[in-house]
Amino acid sequence: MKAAYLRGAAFAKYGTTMYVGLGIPIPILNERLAKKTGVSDAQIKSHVLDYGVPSRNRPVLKETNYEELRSGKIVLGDREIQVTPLSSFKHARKIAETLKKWIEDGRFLITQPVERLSTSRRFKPLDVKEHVGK
Amino acid sequence: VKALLSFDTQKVTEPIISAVVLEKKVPLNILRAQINEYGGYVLVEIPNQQSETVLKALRDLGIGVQVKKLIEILRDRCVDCGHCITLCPVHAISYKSDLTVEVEEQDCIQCGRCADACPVTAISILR
Repeated sequence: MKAAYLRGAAFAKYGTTMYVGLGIPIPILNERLAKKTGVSDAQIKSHVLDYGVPSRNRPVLKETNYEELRSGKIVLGDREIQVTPLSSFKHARKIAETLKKWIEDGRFLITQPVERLSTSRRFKPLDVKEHVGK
Repeated sequence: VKALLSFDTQKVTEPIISAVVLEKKVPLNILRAQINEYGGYVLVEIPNQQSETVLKALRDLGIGVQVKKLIEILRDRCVDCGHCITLCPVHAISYKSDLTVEVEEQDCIQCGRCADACPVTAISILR
């Protein structure tokens, strides 16, 4: 636990928020888990939303993926737009490396679950986004 | 050479920069200009060879001249998110190969968009 991994932040015209750096180990117990965790950036889809529309359900302008986003540029319409993550890749890598080292050194051990996630409780889902023009 | 010129309230209406350009026959690149109730600030780029003569001419006309560091990333605050990169109009900010955010000071025009947007107030515009 380090104060550097929990930082207050404020985005202009958005509000206050927090940078929370959390390392989560995923035990690869079987082939299915290996397949699910071994996805590439290109397989992780994301949407470009129109923040000009002041609604929780903002229209989707384009579907993209993390490979394209991480290249630093995406094409929207006929324009090339610079993009960067709002989180910190550098810190994420650092946390992952730290956790990896702890595991390799035998300093981070997995115990029996303290409490299992509920299978009956339902969470209120966010609205499903639909592509504009479809 | 980049120089930050400051004009007091009386001088903002005089064509001082044009006068120096015509007199010294040196092309100056005005990167940013701002006038407020306290006077005016102009960030100019001067060709290296003629910078001494131009800066002297401006000083002689009563203009405040500063050649100093324009921008600084406060390393103890920066989280290297890169939010500033997309906003920089002159592409002066980029990721290094180790994903550290760095600013190329020579390219900065002190517009201040990065400093306004930085979620952890890690960018300092040195005016």
